[in-house]
Amino acid sequence: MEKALIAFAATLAIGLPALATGYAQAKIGSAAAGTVAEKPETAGTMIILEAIPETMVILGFVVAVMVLVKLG
Amino acid sequence: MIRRMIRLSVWGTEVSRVDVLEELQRLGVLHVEMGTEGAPLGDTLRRLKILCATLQGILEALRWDRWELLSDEILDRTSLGLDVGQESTLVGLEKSVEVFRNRLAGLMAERESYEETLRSLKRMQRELAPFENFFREALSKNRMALLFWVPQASAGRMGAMIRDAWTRKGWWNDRDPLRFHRHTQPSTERDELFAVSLPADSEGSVLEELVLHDGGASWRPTPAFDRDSMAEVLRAMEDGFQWVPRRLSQIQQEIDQARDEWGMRLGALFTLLSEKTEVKTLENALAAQGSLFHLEGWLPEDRQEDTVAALQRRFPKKLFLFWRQAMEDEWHQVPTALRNASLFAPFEIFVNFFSSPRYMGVDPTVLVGIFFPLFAGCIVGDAGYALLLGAVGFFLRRRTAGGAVIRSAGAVALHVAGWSFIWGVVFGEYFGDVGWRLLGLSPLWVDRAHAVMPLLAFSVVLGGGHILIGLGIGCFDALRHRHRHRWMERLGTIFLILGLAFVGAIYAALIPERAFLGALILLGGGVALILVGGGMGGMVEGVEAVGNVLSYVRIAAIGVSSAILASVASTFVDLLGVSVLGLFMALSIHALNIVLAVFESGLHAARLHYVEFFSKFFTGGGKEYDPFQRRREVLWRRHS
Repeated sequence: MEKALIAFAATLAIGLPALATGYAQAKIGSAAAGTVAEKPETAGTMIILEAIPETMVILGFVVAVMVLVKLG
Repeated sequence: MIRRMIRLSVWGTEVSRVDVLEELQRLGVLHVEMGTEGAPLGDTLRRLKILCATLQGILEALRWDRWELLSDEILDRTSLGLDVGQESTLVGLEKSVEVFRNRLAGLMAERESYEETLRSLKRMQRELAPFENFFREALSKNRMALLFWVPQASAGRMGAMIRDAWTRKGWWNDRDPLRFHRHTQPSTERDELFAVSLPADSEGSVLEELVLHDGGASWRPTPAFDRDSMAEVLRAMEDGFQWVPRRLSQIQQEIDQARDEWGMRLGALFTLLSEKTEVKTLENALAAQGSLFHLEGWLPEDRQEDTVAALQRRFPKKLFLFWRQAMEDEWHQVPTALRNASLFAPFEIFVNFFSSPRYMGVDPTVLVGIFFPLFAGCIVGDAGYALLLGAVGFFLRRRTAGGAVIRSAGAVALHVAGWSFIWGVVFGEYFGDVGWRLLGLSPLWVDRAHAVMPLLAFSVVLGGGHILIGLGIGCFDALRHRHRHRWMERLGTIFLILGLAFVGAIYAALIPERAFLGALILLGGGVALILVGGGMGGMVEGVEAVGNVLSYVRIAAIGVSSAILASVASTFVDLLGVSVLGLFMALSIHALNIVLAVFESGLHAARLHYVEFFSKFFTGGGKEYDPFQRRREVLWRRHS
């Protein structure tokens, strides 16, 4: 039971930030598409902005790994 | 590094004005500081600008872009007798260009018209396709065939209505009856196509009236294929599919021929006229100064001697030249010119893409050149993928038609490939675990797919080092510019990060516990410096810097995902055997992984520099160094 809970915690640690990242990237992506349509020279900046929310899921991944390491 | 700039002032007389401007344009080093917006255009300049715009339009229409082929020799040959100051030359040029433009416009209009005809043909073919057998049968029996658009609501009863009308008129013949066929077109929502075949001697006009009365309309082909009968329309369409593409191909050949024959000459003419237009624009602006002219601008210090010598040699005792160093209070208006060793020069695209550094600020190109491939290579971390990336980089680097940016991207890809190979050997990855399976190649350090924690710790250490370098540069730069608050804040943040690193090392039992006092002193000193230097705002930035260090775990995290995906690819061969399907799945996943690894590594390595690293020291917003130079230099640099 304890192992299952730890595994579930790891799932949450990566799953919730992944959802949040997806939501943020969808919002940024649609705004970026509009911006690039009007100013194509901003494409590079928009790609960088699109990558910024990925920090959440990457840190979530780290937490999940640490939790799983605990699990052994 | 940022080149030091010199302020050069040039005084001369009206007589030598044009020659001096042409010489400065030839030398191509002076960033002229003179507004030309309000200057009067004048008739010649206006006509020159129109000529240039027309030529540019022609070259774009011809799709000619071989600027790298325009050698000095070709341009010199073209410039012979090209004195645009003479009215007859300018008029001759205008006429010739206008004739060429009209001819090309005629060809393009004709091509557009035929393309439209071809599109109409294809649309008609789509509409008639469901009736092909119906018409073939009707025409083979020598019957009349008619086609109508009818509203969907009345299409169902249209056949019965026609039959009733025919019966009422006594024309209905059971042995040779009217035949109907209908089809809903996907392109229209409310109308259907309704075809009728009737004996050749029937009253087709009566049928048309009936359908029109019920809200329908005759189907008509486009005017180019409109004929008296459906049989003739179908024949005309069949012919159309032969001659329209043939004519389109002929027109394209004529345009291609015009491009091959005239592209180079027009490109040379455009280049020369653009150069003359730029000189003329500056000349007009200087003309308002009267019999003397005075021109000022910036040039790199390393080009000052040869520029001054060239001007003095060309205009002995005719020019007065004065130069001086840029003063501190005018640094904000001095343009920034970068110069880096050829190994790092391709990485200037990252700096210019972000923002041009300020004059006397810090040029981070060399640091980007060191750390970008290091980080991106660590994320890719596969020797096999590195070879493929290297091949792509080599191809891009060798490309001459792609332009300077593509060539720089190729050089960057080669750097990343080099580091990817090194990291691949360190992690023992050769197309995932293929190297280990086939040749028994094992990692020199850790297997990323199975030992995540050491890699995470390593990436944080890497990030800490990178951020400390950034903070160190920021601190040094602030000291150099005597910004007390800024250097204290940066130094405090350095102490804070080092203190936390000590605490972490003690926790991991890497250093003895008695070092804890040193860690506390570093932390306390760091917080004090930050509070004195930047107050609570500085404290927030200090904490943010710690967060920035943690952000580097993405190097490990994305790398681990890539390594696991590569292992998954090999697992398919285990599951499905060395079969076509197994190999196909493995290769597909490797292909996907390569694309993801290359894209993600570039994106995140760039992000780590822009967001985490640059924020510690970089001040953008500098003025771009844009020397007054011949158009050919700009075009060649951009395209070769």
